[in-house]
Amino acid sequence: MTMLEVRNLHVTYGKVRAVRGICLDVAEGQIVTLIGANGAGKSSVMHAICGVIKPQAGQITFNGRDISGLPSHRIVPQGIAQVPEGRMIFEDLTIRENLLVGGYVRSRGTDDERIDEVLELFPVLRPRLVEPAANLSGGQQQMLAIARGLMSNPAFLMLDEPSLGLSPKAAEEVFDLIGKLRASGVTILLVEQNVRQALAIASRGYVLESGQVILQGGSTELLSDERLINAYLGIRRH
Amino acid sequence: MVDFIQNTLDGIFIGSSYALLAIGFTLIFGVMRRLNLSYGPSIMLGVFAGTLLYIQLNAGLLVVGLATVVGAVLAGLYVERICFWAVRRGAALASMVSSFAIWMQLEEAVTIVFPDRTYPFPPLADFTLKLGPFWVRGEHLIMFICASLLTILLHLLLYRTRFGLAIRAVSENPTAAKFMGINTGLVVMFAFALASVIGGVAGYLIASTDQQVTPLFGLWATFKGLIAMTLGGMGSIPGAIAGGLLLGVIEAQSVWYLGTEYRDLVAYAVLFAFLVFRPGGLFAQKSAMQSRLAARRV
Ligand SMILES: Nc1ncnc2c1ncn2[C@@H]1O[C@H](COP(=O)(O)OP(=O)(O)OP(=O)(O)O)[C@@H](O)[C@H]1O
Ligand SMILES: [Mg+2]
Repeated sequence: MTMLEVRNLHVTYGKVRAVRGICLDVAEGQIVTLIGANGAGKSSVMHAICGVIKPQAGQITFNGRDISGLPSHRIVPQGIAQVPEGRMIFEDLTIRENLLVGGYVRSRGTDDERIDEVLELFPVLRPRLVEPAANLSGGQQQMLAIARGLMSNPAFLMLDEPSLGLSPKAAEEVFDLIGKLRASGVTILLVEQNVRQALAIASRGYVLESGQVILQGGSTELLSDERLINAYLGIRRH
Repeated sequence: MVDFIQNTLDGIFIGSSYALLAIGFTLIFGVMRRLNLSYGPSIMLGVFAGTLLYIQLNAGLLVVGLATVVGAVLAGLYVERICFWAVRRGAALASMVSSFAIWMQLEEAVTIVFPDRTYPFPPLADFTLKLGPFWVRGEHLIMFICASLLTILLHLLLYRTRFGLAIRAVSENPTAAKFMGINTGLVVMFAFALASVIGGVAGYLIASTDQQVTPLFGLWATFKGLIAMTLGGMGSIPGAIAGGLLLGVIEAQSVWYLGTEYRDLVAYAVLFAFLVFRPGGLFAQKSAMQSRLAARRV
């Protein structure tokens, strides 16, 4: 069943046309990845889906409901969460407070239980709950960003370059985690610099160029597509 | 020495009201990262709402106080809609300039309704305590107690409630807060209203100590609040408190040792020294430094 359906999405910033008529589908339980060079419009698509920016045109349907143009405080409560590019941790807040903000849209009273559940996946954060988030290392901050995104118990999670700037080992952990999340039933839209790894974990992919989808298909298909190999996987072959 | 201590005490009492003004400024600056020059004038409007009820209906202290706070909140929300919500996406400068324009507008409006220069405001208390060799005016004591209580309440709101957490999240990073599904527009409006409640109480306490009001109160309140906030460190609530108390003490000492005409001069000189030597204020925000560290950590 299709969980998220994006039709003819347009996003503009002033004169810059960042997204120009993109369509994409994410089925429930899938991991779908967006691939594209810097500035291709990957983040803009995600921002439009979670309502942080208002699309100029197009339709976004989530679980059959039209959510296009709604503000994020009307979208996030429906079960969509985004772990934004660059982490955007609240450094002045404690780790616990960061998690609480992540669960802001939840009904009251069950915060501690949810924190407990989420921390099962992030044991490193548990002993440090009362510390300011600024104390964490880069990799730990990324973990916190993902944990915070999970606090609202989303059915659909968008991860925007979650392994950016991480050591290979930490990046590996992030990918492991994404696998675990899928196993627990979360549907995921993933943007990753490491295209090969992203396609390895995803079931489908969309390749974006200047705000348009130029290629799409199943992961195995894409992994062997000449155009994709030349444009995004080429470096690895040398 | 007795004089010095007496002045310091007076300064701290008066300074507690400056601290309230600075807290209001800092709350708004926190969530918007912009200066609201109309903050003082919106309080002035509230004070005149109070004085109107006092003159026309001979209303009691409580009613006058309530009218002052409600008036300040309404005026504060008006400023928020016009200067900040409407130009939210514009440059910070546009907001500041429009808040200056609204300042003039509010002042004009009040001057039209209240054409005389000064109007009476009901006094709060009329007693003086003697503590050893020191004197404490009743209004000052009440001012200090109210300011302390309000600060404690604000602290509880910010650090013990969900909505307080949302205010702090928006203050640190409005975009990230939006990603979390926080209605940032609502949080900003609420922060304005909160700042206006605090400002309204400060305005009431100050006006009842002076027992009179003029339309220039707006200018005065904006200056005191801005200076106190800058001394303490913009965006920091402990800073606002320290800055307010410091300004009060500086003023009280210079009035005593140099004369009333030097009061503002000394305050400006101290402000200037701070801007040159410690631009971050007493409680320079750590966050700026920490984000730089974090940026390097990537
Ligand atoms: N806030 C903004 N204001 C103006 N232009 C923007 C803004 N955000 C993005 N853009 C522009 O929109 C286009 C798409 O940007 P977007 O961030 O969506 O790309 P991306 O695929 O996520 O890139 P990256 O891989 O670098 O994260 C780019 O040309 C960018 O310059
Ligand atoms: Mg991006």
